[in-house]
Amino acid sequence: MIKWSKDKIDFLIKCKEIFEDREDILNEFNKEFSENITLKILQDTNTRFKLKLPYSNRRIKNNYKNLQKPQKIGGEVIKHSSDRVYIKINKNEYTPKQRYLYEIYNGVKLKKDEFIIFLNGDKNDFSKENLVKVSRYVNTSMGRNDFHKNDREMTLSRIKFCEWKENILTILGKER
Amino acid sequence: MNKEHNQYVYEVSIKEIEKLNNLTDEEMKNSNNLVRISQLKNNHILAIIKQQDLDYKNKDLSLRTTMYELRDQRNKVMKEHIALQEKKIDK
Repeated sequence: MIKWSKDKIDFLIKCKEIFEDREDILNEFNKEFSENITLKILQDTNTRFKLKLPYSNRRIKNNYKNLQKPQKIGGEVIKHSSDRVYIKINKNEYTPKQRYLYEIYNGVKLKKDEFIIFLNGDKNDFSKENLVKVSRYVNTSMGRNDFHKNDREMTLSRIKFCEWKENILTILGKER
Repeated sequence: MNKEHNQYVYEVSIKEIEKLNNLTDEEMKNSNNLVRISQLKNNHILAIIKQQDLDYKNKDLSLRTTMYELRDQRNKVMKEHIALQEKKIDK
């Protein structure tokens, strides 16, 4: 907890004329007063005392790569830091690109319980031949058994296997 | 070998799915055995798939061990070479 005395405030006001970046002011302040404040504390102080310190432009520029520009409808966005591509379909609504393209390729509307698998394991290959629709059970079964492979034929044969298993379970479930 | 496995799994799965879809309600009620037989076949095919994965992993492991052994030999040769160079310099 830092106590803001008049000296410290005056020091910040002087630094405003010397430095152009808030991060430099922060470092100088910490050196001068042997403190260890953060940019967040400085930001709060700035608003509290109305100091009008310059922005931390370097940090903003560096973080800009991670910030997504607001997209138009139909625009692509990479989300969740996992490089998964989403497409904007409404003001605050995004859908995974593979679902969007599957609906266009096949002229269908996917339900919530229907998922899309990449046959060759390449999540950037959105070609029509590579996208396959599966049910929720098959999707979880493929993940649980580690059936996803980089070979199209192998993945397809395992999808059929899981569909067979699902069929058995539904029949047995009906009988019960 | 892998392609044959894949084709076998694919063909058997499709046949069994067709069989199960063609079962009438009466058949399902009367004979549970057909479905149970299909379930046993399914478990058998699962074992084949798992074996296929294990074989692949074993192959991968053996390739990696040979790679590390080769690297080890290379590193030894390089060490000997460096030792020889040092001796030359000392002379």
